[in-house]
Amino acid sequence: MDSLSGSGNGPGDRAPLTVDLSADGTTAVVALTGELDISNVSVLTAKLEEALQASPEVLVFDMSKLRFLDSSGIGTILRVSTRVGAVRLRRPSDIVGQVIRHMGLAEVLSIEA
Amino acid sequence: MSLLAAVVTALGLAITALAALGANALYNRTENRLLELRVKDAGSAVTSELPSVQTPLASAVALAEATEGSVAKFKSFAGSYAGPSGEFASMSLWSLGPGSPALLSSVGAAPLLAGMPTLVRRYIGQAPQGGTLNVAPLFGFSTPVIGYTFATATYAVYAETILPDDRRGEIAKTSPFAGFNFALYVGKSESSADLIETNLDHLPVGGRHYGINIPFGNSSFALVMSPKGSLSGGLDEESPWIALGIGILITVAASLTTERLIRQRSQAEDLARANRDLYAAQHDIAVTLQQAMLPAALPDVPGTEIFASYQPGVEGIEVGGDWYDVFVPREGTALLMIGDVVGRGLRSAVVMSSLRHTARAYAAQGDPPEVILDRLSSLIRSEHEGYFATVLCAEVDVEGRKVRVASAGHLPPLILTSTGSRYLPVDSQPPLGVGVAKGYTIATFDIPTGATLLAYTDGLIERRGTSLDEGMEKLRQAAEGPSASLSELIGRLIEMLISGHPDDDAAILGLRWTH
Repeated sequence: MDSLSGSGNGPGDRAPLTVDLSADGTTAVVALTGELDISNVSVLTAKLEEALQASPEVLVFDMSKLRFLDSSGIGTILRVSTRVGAVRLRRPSDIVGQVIRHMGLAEVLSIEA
Repeated sequence: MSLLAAVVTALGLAITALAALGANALYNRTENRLLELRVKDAGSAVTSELPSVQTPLASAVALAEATEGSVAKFKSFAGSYAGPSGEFASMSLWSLGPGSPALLSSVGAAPLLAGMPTLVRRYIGQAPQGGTLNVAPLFGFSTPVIGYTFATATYAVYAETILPDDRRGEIAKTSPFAGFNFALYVGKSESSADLIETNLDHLPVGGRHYGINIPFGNSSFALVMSPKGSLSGGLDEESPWIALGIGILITVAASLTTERLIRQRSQAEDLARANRDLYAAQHDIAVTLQQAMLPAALPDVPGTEIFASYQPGVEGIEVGGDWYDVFVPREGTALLMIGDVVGRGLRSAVVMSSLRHTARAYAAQGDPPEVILDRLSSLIRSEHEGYFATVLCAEVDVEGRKVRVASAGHLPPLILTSTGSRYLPVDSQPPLGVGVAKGYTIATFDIPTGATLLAYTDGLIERRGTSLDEGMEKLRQAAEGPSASLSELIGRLIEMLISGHPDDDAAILGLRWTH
């Protein structure tokens, strides 16, 4: 497991985010810890490129430790979903689940417990 | 003086002179670098204007194709773009065929070109068809204009903007480019015959200046700018002389170390200030661009009060993606649209502008909200791949007191009545750009007398640590209670819900029945 963090300095401080990659057969698991927003979405994009190099069939975002997600994070997830067979969101918190529901994506992004 | 002292003094003076030259060279390098960056920013600002010129024309042509050249529909669409308060002095629809282009309709002033068959053939009949904006500099007339044409094989829409006779224009004092002298030319050269506008009395631009060529449609503009003062902060201009003064002092005291340290710190401070100024300027540019992308004025719809407000987000240097618009497709009906392009930066702003203008064209054609969303989704998937946008589209029937709403991933609108406030239960479909198999659905609601409809973007309610539902509840409660006018209500909501420096930009659009 390796991880990459974005942490704050300079104008427009970055929110804290850690992205950990692991694999489970042909499923790549991307564990997100902290907050994902416009200030650090590039951290996730970089890690996803790495995960996609193994050409996984399924991409699971483990969101159990993700406190905040806004539309820019959703945009990144939607974009990557066109490059793999399936994308699943694992245990999103209530806050994150509401963003997905309000954006009409509850049926587009499958949510697993 | 001993030989050693003389040598030290000579050495000291030589080093002082070098320090002064070094500081001067650094000052010039910094000034030139900053000037180049600022002029490129200004160039981006001009380039970002292309959609606001091209899209209305392209949309009007598409409308003509769809309505077989309907004059009434063209007039209705073009009315908001041409005329005394519009962005163009005139906008006209022409039909193309084997002969000369034929003028079908014109809105605003009469097109200057109309009486001149040779020019009509050249700039309208022979304009590139189906994708590129044709730029026609018509400077030989008593009223100089720039003409813009967008054409397909069957129709062309031609618009004119009038240039001031003396070609003098001023940059607004509040603009991030207020500290510059500029000259804008059409084409690639700085020939006075091609001058569009300048704030200088004498041309060509002299002193420290930088010029760039900005492609625009099938032509280009040449922009030359020169700073009025120092770009990197006042101190820099004096720093060569300060170095000289200090240097001599230090030479006399024969302390070279002190002199070097002072020079280094002064340079570091000046560079830090330059970076902060540049950052502030970039933020101003972003806000200016954003404001330019939003409608300048909202239409008057009898029987209603309409108001909107946009609040830019944190001191970021990128343009936000929020937009809103109100269009009147036919008398007594108002189409409210609000949206949020995911992502920031110039590209997102271009997508936003494209969505806004295209939505207006489909609305002008009479398309209902769910069809408009469908078409916008096709547009974004074919022309802006990888971009997503949430959009809410509400068609308001003023007399009938009905609202028909379709939502692509956007938060539901709030309705305020004398009995309280509630959210309209609108089923949100996925955002534009995410393929929707079954299309967008529409929901119709009956609205009580004197009600207010509020649409907003998530920046108004989304906060760290609280959920969207909680934010929506906060908005709902804040909206209850009397307000003298819609603008007062919206002002109050912004004050109550947005404090300090919010991360995200927020837009809020409202329509209130006045009876």
